[in-house]
Amino acid sequence: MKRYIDLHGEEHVRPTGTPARWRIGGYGVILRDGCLLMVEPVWTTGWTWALPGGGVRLMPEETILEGIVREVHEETGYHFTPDPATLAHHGDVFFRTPKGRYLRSITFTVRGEVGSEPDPAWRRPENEIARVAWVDPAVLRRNDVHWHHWDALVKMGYVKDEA
Amino acid sequence: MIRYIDQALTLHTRPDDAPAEWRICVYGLAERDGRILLVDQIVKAGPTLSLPGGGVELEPEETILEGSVREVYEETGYRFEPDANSLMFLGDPFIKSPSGRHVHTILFLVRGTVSDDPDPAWERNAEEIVEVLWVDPASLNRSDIRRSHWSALARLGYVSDGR
Repeated sequence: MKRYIDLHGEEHVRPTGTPARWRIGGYGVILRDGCLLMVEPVWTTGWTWALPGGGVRLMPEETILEGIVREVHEETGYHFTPDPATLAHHGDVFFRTPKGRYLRSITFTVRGEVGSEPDPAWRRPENEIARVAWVDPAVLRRNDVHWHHWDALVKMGYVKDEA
Repeated sequence: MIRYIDQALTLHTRPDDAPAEWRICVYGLAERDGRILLVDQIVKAGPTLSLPGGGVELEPEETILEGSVREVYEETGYRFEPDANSLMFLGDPFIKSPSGRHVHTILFLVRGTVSDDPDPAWERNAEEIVEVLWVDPASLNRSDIRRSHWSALARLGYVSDGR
């Protein structure tokens, strides 16, 4: 029996009659002068930082790369140029949303670069993102970062789990 | 405007009233004595050879790796043990299925090992599979096998492009 994890780390069994859905998500891994571009979502639960990104749209159609570029711009204001060769699978997560939807979340990461300044026309989506910052990964601890993104940063060698 | 490709390589625009859907597919790559496990499939058009594999189930839930085990077994009768670290993203093509559905497909490949012999109780689905084969990759031509599988085999060094 598979269990779906919620934002607080609680596990849930999907009730009979409630559908599961696919969610394809992607995150940009953007490094400049040794710092990672990160966002602080308004809905964090104890941790602070997440990688910019989000869900890829099914309709209107977009590729995984296009979805990540759009999400990075929406969340940070930066125009993101991903390196397609670095697009990689990250996770296969069973997630229960705060609204009680059961998502099979398949996630990806991609490295790339952003322009020197955010788009001047961009406005921070205040109901989603509290802060955008360049964060030195050397100061990050596991509890500072969304667990799924922490795992991605460990996998890519930006941070190390404390022994 | 993103277009969906069918087996005959014809491109289609999704009509406004037709829904798109996600499909997560995983294929298993098993090698033995210099040969790789392939299935010869019944298809309406295009190459007939494929790595064994198929769609990951949303309900009842299975992980991508569990999907690879089930699909390799269903198509070949072999018990497949995937190497989780080898899971590789192959691409996200937009495919119009033989039944006319518009499918944003996420393709994965995972390497693994198979049992010495197929399960004696296994029965080939004669409507889908003509034959299960161990094939020397050197004998393959690009047009023999699904394009995404050829590309993956080329990336992994089993075949050389330009043949």
